[in-house]
Parts: sequence; structure tokens; C-alpha cells
Amino acid sequence: MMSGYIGKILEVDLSSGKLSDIPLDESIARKFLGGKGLGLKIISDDIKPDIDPLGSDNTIVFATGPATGTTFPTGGRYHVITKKSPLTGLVGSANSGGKWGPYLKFAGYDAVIVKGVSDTPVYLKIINGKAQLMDATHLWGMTTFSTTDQILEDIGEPKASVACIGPAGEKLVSMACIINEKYRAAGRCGAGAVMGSKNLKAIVVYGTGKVPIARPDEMKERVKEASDKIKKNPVTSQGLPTYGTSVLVNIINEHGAYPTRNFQSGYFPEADKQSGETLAKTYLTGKKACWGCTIGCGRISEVSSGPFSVTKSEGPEYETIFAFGSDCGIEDLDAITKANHLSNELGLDTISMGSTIACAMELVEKGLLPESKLHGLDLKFGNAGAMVEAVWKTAYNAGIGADLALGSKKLAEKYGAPDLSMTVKGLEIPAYDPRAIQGMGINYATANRGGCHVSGYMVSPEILGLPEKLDPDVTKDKAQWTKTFQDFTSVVNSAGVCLFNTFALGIPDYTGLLASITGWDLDDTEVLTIGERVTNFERLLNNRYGADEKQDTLPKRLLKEPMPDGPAKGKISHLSEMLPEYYKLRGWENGKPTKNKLKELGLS
Amino acid sequence: MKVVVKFLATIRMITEESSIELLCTPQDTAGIVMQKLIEKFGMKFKQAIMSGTKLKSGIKMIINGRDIDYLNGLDTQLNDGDVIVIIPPIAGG
Repeated sequence: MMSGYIGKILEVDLSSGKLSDIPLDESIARKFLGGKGLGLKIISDDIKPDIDPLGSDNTIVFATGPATGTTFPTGGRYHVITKKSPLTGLVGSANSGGKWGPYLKFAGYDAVIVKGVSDTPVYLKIINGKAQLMDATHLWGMTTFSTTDQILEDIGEPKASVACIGPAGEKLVSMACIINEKYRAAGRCGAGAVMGSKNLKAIVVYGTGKVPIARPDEMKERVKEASDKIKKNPVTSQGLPTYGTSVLVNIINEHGAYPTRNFQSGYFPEADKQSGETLAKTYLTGKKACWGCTIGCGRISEVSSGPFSVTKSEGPEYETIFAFGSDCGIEDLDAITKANHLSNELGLDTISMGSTIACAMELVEKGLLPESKLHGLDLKFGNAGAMVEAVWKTAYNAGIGADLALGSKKLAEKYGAPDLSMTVKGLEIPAYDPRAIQGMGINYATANRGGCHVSGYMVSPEILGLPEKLDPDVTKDKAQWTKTFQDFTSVVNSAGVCLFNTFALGIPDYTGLLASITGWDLDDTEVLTIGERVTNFERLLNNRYGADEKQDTLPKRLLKEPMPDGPAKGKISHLSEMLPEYYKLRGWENGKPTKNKLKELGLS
Repeated sequence: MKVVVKFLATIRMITEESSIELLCTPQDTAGIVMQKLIEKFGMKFKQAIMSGTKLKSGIKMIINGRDIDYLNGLDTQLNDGDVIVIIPPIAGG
């Protein structure tokens, strides 16, 4: 029997209604670990470049890792892989916390593969090893909140966890996401639309099983060591628990890297009004942690009165505040909180949603998006009411919402200004302007899923000084750092834990914990090699869709237009100084892993 | 001349102010500003920020967006209108 894994994967063919158990091969588990790596391996067998991301040939995988559901600190995560993302046309990848991942394992499975398309709306119920497809006709049209409540009532198990889509997923909005427990999102790359295209409304999981641990006494010791490091680290013991992720608003703004008005600036003078400090003082009613987490960065918030009132919500996270706030020229934290809450209810990725609205606002500002298309919606920078309304309209494809639902790349192309889309590979860039943080430029450009901050979070050394301080204006050595961060992040996402523990833990901690969970004789080199393998494998699959070095770039604005004002005034991204070195370190030619690299990683 | 000093996150809890203006002379350095801040905000502030004559590990001081480590440290000369930000160890994402 394998340790760290249940040893079983559920395959669901929605076209035939057939459910099958597939054993998890230990050699694959050791090679790809789980989570992201396992998801990629599962979808890799029959990739054809021309598959329709919203057609029956697409596959969606929900995968946990060996640490998910164990005492490995922050072991509450799962990963979602779609064979093709409707937003990027490449492999889709998203990650979420909460308790859904652990509960899937306790219910008896390491992963769920969903293929085909159901004729009618269904949801999947997995309780204590028994999987069933259930009618979801009565759920179709419901928000993620109503869906969650209704399913828990229908199955009579209030402790179960529901991952579902909202109206946005049903309407095939390209940035629709999957929401579990109402507030945790597998946000990026449009996995919600893929679920919607399959008529799959939700997956509910619950079980009382346990994850087998190979060396429980050793595990206990290693967990204690890791937990002590998390408790002693000021970031994981004070910064994140006290303020959550929104503590970054002021610090990023003061470095001139806080994207403002669709990245036309990196400094938002009113940033403090939407900062973590303000959120904690005015909006916060409680704090929350995901399953198995001692950090507890989650915020419970409310807007007690006014046009944007929200009785109880969670968040908003830093990225969301930028997307609905500074990027749309909006300072009002009430409106940002409302837009965040709506996005959770409707099932929308807040980063892509906010950034797409910001793109539309610039198109309007430049006279490229005519009033006749707006149906009375005054999409000007700074108009908080219009921004919130745009979220509604997008989820329901209503009016200009049908254009916003395309995502900013296709929106900007449609209105003749592709350079106004702040995307990489079709995925909207998050809340750090790479003109002010050089390492984020090489990370954004090369991240496999597109404009992604968490693939290689260079903000950590360049702005936060973790694990050591690097000058954000310098390009030297950033390629090496980015590669290492990206590979380590692939380990994190494949192990089934939260990236935030890496502010306190390093590779040796992971090696020890994973070894005691699985019983494998791991060393640091093997663990980092797994990360490198997963990163290369995702790249290889994207290459099959035609991706090459031409997509490893940034929007023209960030490469050519010097920052106009703020602390980073005059700076641009010097991507071309870093990219050749990055490819060399990776063993890639033209943005593709060479045969030798694939052989070295056991991928040929 | 005047400089603006901003306090973030847990440091703001000590100062109970988000920012202040400080009168300075053209000879003043980042270190002298720090002494003035310690005089104003007291021992609790000093203990949170300083370790001997240096900034405590993890504490960042930036002037107009640049970390003083890439300028001249606490000896960095100030100019009228400079914006100084004091940042404790924080992270997010």
C-alpha cells in the first residue's frame, strides 16, 4: 500500500455516465508527486492542438498531493488542470485551498478526472468511497452560494465540501472559476467555463478516511520543526495573520509597482484607502484559516451600509484589490469588496475580471470602445458603480458583458488595440508592474500558464527581502532565481500545500516531510528535480499547442513605455537581458525543452 | 526642509499614525530621521525597528521607492520632499 496517497483515482465520463476507479501507479506518483504534476500527467496522453476547450474532448482533473489531508502545515490544497484553457488556449492550471482537497482524500480518492459532456446538468457526489452522478437541474442558474447550501441540504451532510460553478461558468465566460466553500477559488484560466461546458455544476466530497503515513513518529517530529519555523517567522506568525494578503497594497505602491489604470502607472495616490491596514481597521469582522493551516491569512469582512453593502464576505485579497481597485482607478474599498463578493457568488476570477474591466476602461478612454456598445454603462476609470455593474454583466453575458466575457486579450483585439491587453499568453497579469520589479518580468514572460505571479514569486526576494534581499532594478541573476522559484513552486503545487508556508520553510523541510509521509528515500535534489520535471512537462504540453518563444514576452507597454510617474518613474522591463540566460539555464531552445533536457528529466 | 515618513502594517500599530511630516536640515541623513522618530515614538518603536545602531533584520526603510541598502544605508542624505517608508517583515501574494 502506498503512503501519502489513497492509491485510487475516479474517472467520470459524463457522455456515457460511466464512473470508474483507476489505481494510482506509484512510479507516476514518485515522478510527478501529485496535484499539478499528476494532473498534467493525466491529461497528457491525447493532446490534440485543435481541441475545443469547451467541447467534449477537453478533460478536467482535480488532483490532490501526498501532503493534502496530512499534518504537513498548510496541507489543505488541491490543483485543477484542464487539458485546454478557454482563456489561453494552452493547458489550464488553477489551485485552491479550503477543505475540499483533504475531504476528497478522506472520501477515498487522490484525484477526479472528468471527461465528456453530460446531456443534462449534473453534479458529482463522492461520500466515503461511493461516487454518484446526481441531477443538477434544480441547481442550474444558481449562484455558488445557493448551490453550496442546496447541495449540503440535499445530501444531508452539512460538513461536506462543495466545489462548484456559478452563472459565469454556466454561461461559458472565459474567466469563470471554480469556487469551493463559497470563498476559496481555483481561480485562473477559466476552469469554471470548462465545467459549465460539460454541464457539471459541482463536486461534493466528504469522508471519514485517513491518509496513510509511512513513518508517523518521524512525521510528528518534522511537523513540529516546521510548525515552529512558521510560528517564529514574522511573516507567517504576524504579518499574514494580522493583515492577510492585502498588507501588500501599501508596500507595493510605495515601490511604484502597484498597477494603476490598466498599468498606465505604477503608483496610486489613494492606495492607503484600500490597504490591508484600512481593511483591518474598518471592514474586518474575523479571520479564517484553510484546513490544516496555522497561518490563517483569510479575512472575514463586511460593508455595513451604503450602495455596496455586503453583510458577510471573505477577502478581498491583495490581487483582487488591485484588479477592482487601482487598476480600474477606483479607491472605494466598499465597491472593491462588493465586486469581490459578487465574483465569488457568480464564479469569476477576480484578477482576470478586474483587469479586463480596466482594459475596457482604457479602450473607452481612448475612444476605441464606442458608447453604442456600452448600453449606458459609463465605463470610465474611477467609476465604482459601473465597475460593479460590469461584473454582473460579464457573468450573464449581458450587453458589454458579452465582450468582457472574452477576457482582455480578445476584447482588446476586437476593438483594434491588442497592445492595451495586459496579458501574457492570454492570461491577465496580476498586481505587480514588472517595470519596477525586474524579476517579475522574466517570471511573467515564462510562466507556463501565462501572466501568473505565483509561478515564480520574485516579489519575495526583490521587495520583501525573502529569503534574501535582491535589488529589484537589477537583471543579473534574476533568471536563475526565477527558475529556482518556478521549480520549487511546482513542488509546492504538486505536494498539495500552500505556497505561503515557503516564507518560513525551504526545500530541506519539504524533503523531510514528504519522505516521512511517503516512505520514499528522497533527497533535496530529487525533490527539486520533480519540480523541474513538472515545469518542463507543462511547457512540453503547451509546445504541443504551438506555444514557443514568441509567447514568452510582455505587453509592449511594459517593455517600451517608461513608467510615467511615482517611485519607479522612468523604468521599463529589461526582459531581453534575462530571457537568453533563462533559456540557457532551462536547457530550452526557442522556448522548448531540448531532447537532452527531456531525456535528463525522464520525459522523452 | 520637510520629508514625509510613512508607517506600514504592524509599525503603524505602534505609531498610531499612518504618516507624519518631519522638519529636517539639508545635512540630515536617514539615520538622523530614525533618531527623531525614536524620540517621537519611544522605546516600543525603537525595539521594533532597531538592533543597536542598525535596522533590525527584516525591517526595510525605503526612500522614494528605493531600499536604503541600495543607496547609502542610514547615511543616505535626504532631500526636500523625500518620502520615507518604514516596512516591517510582511508578505502576501
